[in-house]
Amino acid sequence: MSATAARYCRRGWNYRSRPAAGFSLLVTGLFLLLAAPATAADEVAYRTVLGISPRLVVWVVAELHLMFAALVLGVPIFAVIVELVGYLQSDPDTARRYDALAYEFTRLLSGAFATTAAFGGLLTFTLYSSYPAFMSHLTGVFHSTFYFYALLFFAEGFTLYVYYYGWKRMARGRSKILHIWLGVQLNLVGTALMVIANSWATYMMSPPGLEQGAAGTLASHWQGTQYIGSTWDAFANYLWMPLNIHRMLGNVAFGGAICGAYAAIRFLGSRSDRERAHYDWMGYVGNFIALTALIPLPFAGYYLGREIYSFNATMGQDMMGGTFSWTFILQAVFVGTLFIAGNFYLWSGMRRIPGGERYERYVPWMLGILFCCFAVWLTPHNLPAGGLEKKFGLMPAKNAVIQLMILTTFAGFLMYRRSNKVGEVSVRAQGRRAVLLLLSAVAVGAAMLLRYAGSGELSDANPEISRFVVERLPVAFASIDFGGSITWAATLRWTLYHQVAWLGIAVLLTLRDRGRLGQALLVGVTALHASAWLFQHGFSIMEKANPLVRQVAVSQVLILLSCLLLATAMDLLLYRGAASLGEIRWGRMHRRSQFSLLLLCVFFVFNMGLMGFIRSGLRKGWHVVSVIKDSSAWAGTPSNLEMAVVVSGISITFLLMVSFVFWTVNLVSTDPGHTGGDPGSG
Amino acid sequence: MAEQGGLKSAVRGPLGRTLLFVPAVWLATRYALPLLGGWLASDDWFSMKHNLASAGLEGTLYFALALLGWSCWLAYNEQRWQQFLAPVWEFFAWKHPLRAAILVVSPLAAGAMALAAAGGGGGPDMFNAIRHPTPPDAFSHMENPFRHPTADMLEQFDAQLSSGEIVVNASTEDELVAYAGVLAAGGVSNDADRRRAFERHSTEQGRELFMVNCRPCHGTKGMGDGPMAAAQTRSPADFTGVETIATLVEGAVFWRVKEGGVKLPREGGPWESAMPRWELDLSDDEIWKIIMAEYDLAGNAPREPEKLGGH
Repeated sequence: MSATAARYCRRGWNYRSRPAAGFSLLVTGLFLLLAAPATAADEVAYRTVLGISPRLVVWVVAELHLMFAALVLGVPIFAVIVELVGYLQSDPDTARRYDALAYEFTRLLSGAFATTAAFGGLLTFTLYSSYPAFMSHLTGVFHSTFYFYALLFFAEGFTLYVYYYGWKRMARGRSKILHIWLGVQLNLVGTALMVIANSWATYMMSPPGLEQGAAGTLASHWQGTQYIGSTWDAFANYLWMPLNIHRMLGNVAFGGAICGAYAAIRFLGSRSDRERAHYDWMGYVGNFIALTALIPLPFAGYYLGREIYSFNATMGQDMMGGTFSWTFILQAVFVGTLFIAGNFYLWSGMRRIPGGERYERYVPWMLGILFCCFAVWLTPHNLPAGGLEKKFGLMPAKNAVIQLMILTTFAGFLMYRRSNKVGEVSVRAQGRRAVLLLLSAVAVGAAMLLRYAGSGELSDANPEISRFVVERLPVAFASIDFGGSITWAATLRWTLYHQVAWLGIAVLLTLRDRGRLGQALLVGVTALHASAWLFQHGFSIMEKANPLVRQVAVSQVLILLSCLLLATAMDLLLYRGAASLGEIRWGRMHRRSQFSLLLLCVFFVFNMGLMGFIRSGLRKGWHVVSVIKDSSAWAGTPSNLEMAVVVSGISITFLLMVSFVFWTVNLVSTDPGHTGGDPGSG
Repeated sequence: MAEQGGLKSAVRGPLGRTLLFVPAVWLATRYALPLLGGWLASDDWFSMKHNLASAGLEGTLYFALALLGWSCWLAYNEQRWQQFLAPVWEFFAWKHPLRAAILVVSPLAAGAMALAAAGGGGGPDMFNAIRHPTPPDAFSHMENPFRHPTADMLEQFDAQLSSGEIVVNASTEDELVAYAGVLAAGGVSNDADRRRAFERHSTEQGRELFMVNCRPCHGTKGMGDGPMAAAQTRSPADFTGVETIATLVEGAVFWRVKEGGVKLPREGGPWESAMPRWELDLSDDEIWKIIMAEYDLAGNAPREPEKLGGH
């Protein structure tokens, strides 16, 4: 070996070349894909991968690629936010700590980037080799997007290089602003990459031009199985935007959980108080990010599910009540565990905050609420057992309890935030900008609610809605006779108006320096509206006016969002500059709390594997639903057992690989002095 | 072992509470939960109607959850956790034959319970069961031709009504009588009235077919309580409420009637369905009309696909 080569091996093939190698592999794969129509042998529709089922190989490689991609796309979002927060700090020490944390997040990213690209390349090779006929069709429809994808990949790679390797050089003054701008660009490019890839996946599920009762559209897009519509039509298919939103939030939550788990492992292995304090803080931030993104994730999931049902009612039925219904019970177990693990971590952390013990008396209540909701959330409808499934197994119950779980988690956050704060700061005394912020929050919330209340979906002018009339309104233990008849939609409208009124009351109380009372009332009334009232009312609607069930769910989501928005704004203002009982004692956490962070990460990974299976599996016997049949020997929907084995295998492989990647990242330095050290008050 | 005071504080402490909590929750999930289930399902606390093969599974799930929740309560507070563990460690350090006896008997008892649970099964594997089997693709997009009639069908309907082939009498539904009146007077009715009358007529025909073919099992009101229902292992489907036909598109119901229990897919079972394969006895048109009658009798409407957002 020459001296240059030896030097290369020692230094070059270290961290900087791996992104390039993975990147090269992916681009090679993409160009081979572009060559596919010219070289694909039409007679060969399927090939095995070295004698192994190509479906299994594609499943494993695609899921691993997606998991790494989620990490690579999710982490930069909060890395740049943390960097910006640090930049805006007036205290240089605090600014340095935030900057160091953002750098540490990005350091993890640099290692995972190469692996993502390598899996992308491998996936391309496998698809092209194993499913040439199907890939020929996909290439025919999407070939022009492949160029954009490849070019964006260049942009992603180069931006990441400059962002990561230029961190120290662009640390001050204008160059720091440029650096943050680069971080924003990195996210924009990453998001663009994701939405392009999402369009390919969702096209396979919901190709355009097949909608029932639109024969003209059908003719304009298809000739046999040949797609002749525009690329944009195929790109912006029905499920594209719902999946974009769902994946965007999912990636942030996933990235936060993985960074939290990384911090937990470093915490458990810490040798000094300083190191422990740093990783405790990092774990807290990871958990905060994961939970913040997890809170709206069920809404995005509901939106995706609703659009799946809208595109194809049988596909929706398969998902929630048919072939995939047991996997949704598993998902309920995973999601419930995520909420429990995240909350457990918060509760455990209260003792390290002076004054946190004041709020500990609420924890058993929150714990009880979460577990009762969890019980309803996972009750299967499939089993004719006990009778509980008759209520708890149906959507109104599930929708009601998830709202309550989110609200309880949010309340836990509020308590955590105010643990070491004393007194309530007058919002009026904070000046016009504070009042404006408060009014803006209530205006956005009220506008959302009023817009929906006044929309066609809840309008009596719609004959589909006005035909469902209610004479007596059934509630839990009695019927209310209101002397006349109104539509079921009107009862929903009035619920929304009622919530708007309570938003106003909460703001008025805040402006009269009774903000804590206003906030507590708002959270309580929201729980009554979204969980208690619409739980019971949802069943009545389901029974008497079935087509309106989806409006109940949308109303619940909007009610909750309006509360979260206003209560957050109130909390920011009520404790701005409030007296403190002392600094957070970072590092003073029991070891069990760190295992809850690990649990959070493991369940996120398993859940992602499971939901990936469901989303893709919903196509059942089709490559492209209703267009190209999967006629291979591996076309059948896997059994739940096979799914469990493969998804577990993928998840464990990912966890091992990501551990390895993070380990290699830490070969450079394991001293938190390089990355910021003691977080102080955080 | 701990001294008298230590034992007292252990009993009053987290360990003692745990020893009270666990059996209390077990009893609640074993005995109180089925009562609640009966009330939720049929407003009857002591109803055993729904306690079928998998009864008790939900109780087991809830019991496991309660234990998990209790563990969280013990573990999030360091002080409580140490109080809980202290007597446990003391027990392990206890130099007494009773310790050895407990350590031997506990795993044996757990093993015996596991053995009993493994050998005591024999029922169908309920964990594979799903609510709604997937209809073959050809069925899932089908529309009921009598709910969405073509212009030819409507014209033929007018002709039959005018010629008296369709008899309208006092017992016929109002919509049909009114429409026949307009038609007999030579008036031109609007299309909505015409479609409503046609749908009503088809439903009436379906109702007659339902009473002859379906009522014996599914009952006069479609509640799954016909005279032959009691003879079956699994009750015939109850069309009222929100769980059966209300949640299905009509194509899926058509498939279930046409191909019956014998053509249900193997996956997702056990179905235990005695539904006959009606394609051997009824025409497609007759089945569609029966389906209209089923929804009508049960006071339900078929599930319609939602409108696609943003498209």
